[in-house]
Amino acid sequence: MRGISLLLLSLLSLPSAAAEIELFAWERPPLVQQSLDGQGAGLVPELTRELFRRAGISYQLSFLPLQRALVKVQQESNGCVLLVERRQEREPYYAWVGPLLISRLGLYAKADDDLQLDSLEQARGLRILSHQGSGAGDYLQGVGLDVLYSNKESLNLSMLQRSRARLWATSAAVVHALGAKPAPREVLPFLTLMEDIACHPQLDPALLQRLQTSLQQMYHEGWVQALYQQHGVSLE
Amino acid sequence: MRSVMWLVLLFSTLTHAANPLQEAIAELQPSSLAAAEQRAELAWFAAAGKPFAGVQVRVIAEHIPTHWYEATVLAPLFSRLTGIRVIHEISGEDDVVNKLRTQQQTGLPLYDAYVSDSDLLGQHFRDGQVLVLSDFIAGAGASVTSPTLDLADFIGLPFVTAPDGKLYQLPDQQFANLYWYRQDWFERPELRQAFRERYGYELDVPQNWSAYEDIAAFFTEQVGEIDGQRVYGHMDYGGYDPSLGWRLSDAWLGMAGVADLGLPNGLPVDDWGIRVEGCRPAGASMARGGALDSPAAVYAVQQYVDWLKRYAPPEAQQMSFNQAGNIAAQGHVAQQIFWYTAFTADYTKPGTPVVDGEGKPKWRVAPSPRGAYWQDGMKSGYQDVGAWTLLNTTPLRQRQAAWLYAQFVTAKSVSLRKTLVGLTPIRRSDLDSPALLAEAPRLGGLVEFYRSRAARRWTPTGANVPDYSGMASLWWRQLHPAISGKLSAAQALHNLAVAFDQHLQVVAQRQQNPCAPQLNPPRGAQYWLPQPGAPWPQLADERPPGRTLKYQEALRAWD
Repeated sequence: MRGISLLLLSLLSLPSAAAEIELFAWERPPLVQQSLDGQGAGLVPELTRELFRRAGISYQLSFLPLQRALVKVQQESNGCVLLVERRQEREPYYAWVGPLLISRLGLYAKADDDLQLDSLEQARGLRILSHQGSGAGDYLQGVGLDVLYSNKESLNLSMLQRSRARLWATSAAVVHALGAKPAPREVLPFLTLMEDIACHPQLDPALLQRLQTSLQQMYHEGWVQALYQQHGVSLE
Repeated sequence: MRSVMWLVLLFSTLTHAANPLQEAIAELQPSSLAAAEQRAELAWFAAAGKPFAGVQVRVIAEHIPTHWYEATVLAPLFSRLTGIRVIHEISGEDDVVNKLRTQQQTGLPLYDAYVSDSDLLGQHFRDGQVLVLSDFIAGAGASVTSPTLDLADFIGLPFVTAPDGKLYQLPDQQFANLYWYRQDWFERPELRQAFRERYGYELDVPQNWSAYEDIAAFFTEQVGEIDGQRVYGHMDYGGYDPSLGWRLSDAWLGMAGVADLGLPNGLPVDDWGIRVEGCRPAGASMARGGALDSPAAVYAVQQYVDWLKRYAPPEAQQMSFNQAGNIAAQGHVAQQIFWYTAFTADYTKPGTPVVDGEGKPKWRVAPSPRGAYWQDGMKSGYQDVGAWTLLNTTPLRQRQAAWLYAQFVTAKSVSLRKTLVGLTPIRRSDLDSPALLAEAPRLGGLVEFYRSRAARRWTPTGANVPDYSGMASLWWRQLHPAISGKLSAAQALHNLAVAFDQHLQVVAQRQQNPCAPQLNPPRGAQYWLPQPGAPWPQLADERPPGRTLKYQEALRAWD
């Protein structure tokens, strides 16, 4: 009898073992960071933890550069990237759960720069710094603006302060987290960005549905909004 | 944060030393209004905006020249005039739909207004989340509604008025799907003679798909090269992208003749193949009385796939809507069966291969040819408006400020200038203006189309689709296998029809509306095919002889 129970138990546990998702994160302080013990820290990993807990799905988190993470997800049918900007050109190539992060992006200038902008058109001819993979740079390049990428926002801040570029495309949360004094000044809000978990297109649709339903519920309860507030992220 | 933004705006106002009213009048020329009327209308906006000074509104629209003009010129102008700061984002059309859906599903305040296609009207009036503009204008929006709004002047108003008789959206830009061709090539005597000898009729505007196919084959296979350049007789797109769905759902099935007779859309079966009983969607598959997997639909998709592969430039098979939009403007395409007029600005740029030395187009637009199942009384083409869409959950003050901006960019003071820049007309008064009539020869027939009564026979998706944002993705996901060769057109359409029925069932459980879906029981195609109307039984001959008309005669469809 006991043997049969153990067999049943192990059979029942199979779907959950098979359901484990490989989650590849890439660092974007302060919203996604790798702590000293290799775990995820920041708004997005916290949200992800709660989301997967509610959905009853286990996952393994590891950190990789974005491009490698995107390649991994194409190769591994249970792989997902945390996070990817969801936009039309990418839509068919992943299965999506989101949005996990909604960012208001703006163009920032040095505090003592008297530059004024009314529209993106007026940024033509000015060099703009952007974090590789954030989506902002692609967008600005797409409308014909001059974008310079780096892999660290701290480097972008440093380049802005040394006048290597006149503008920096980023969010208030990043500016605040880097704590520069005086802080760069937003001269033009220009884009609202939605970022999702992007999974292998053949990932089990039932898992995706459970995650999406759980996320919806977290929004309805105000759980996500409260987390945003805790981390100083605003949709103002 | 908002006070900082206001300081920035104030500083910006000071640096633009000119009086904002004067500045607006200088930019907004020509106008369909007399100078005094324009000044009075703009002064009304300045006064109406005063109580909202310092408010910031976020709006979003798709990436076409009209919206780029709004974002870069009109939004700053409005801000200086009223003190309301507008962040006017530009994004892909699919992104606009996704963001609207996200705001509806999460309740997050992403935007205060969207410019979204009227194709979503069937969803808006059933879901109850979109602001009913006619109620708003009579109620909380009365004090911020321009006395010169003149709704009757909007040519696309029927597209944004739901079956309940209420107005849900305000037209911002309007575009149609027309036949496009190189008139200069069609006039070449040697090409006309060669075509006549081979096909036995004249190289003119095709009236049916047989003639379109003959002309496509003629240029791609027989002519091959003009003035040393490889040329093609057809242009389309087939990349695995959300826009593939619009390609098929906007035009192919409607012009093949899938639907029933009736305007603005076939009744009881529309050109998405959805049958309605009363106003309730009752099924898309033939099994439930729909026509999405009917012989006419299979014929439509089969022609689409065959022509894309045989007659279009090879790279078109991988392209999306935006990538394909201005390809024919590069000067190596003879005709395009379905061409979006939203791209007119790209096709009238001086110095491009499709514009002559005097700045006049070498191309013309005409009514698209009809497929074998098309019958008189069906819609004659696809047309839609991108329209201002506000949500009930947006706080009143934000809603009022956004409504002021929506009215401004569509106001008579503004719309003629905007039309001349973006070529997406919305107002009858602009179409009747001397300025637009003077531009007509430069626009290849666009103005003639909009001034004709045809506008009523070129219609959008219509109100039968109860969840456009949820169902639109089914088109491209289910039909792309027919392009890649993994499935036949019939198999792919069967899968799509089944997916539609399942989705309608889910929506039926969600929507609390007398017009929510209620599926017919499955009775089988053999029950429905012999019944009158759609789904139409298979024709014995789907390829009648080709027929063409001279350009001026072809335009009589617009009379």
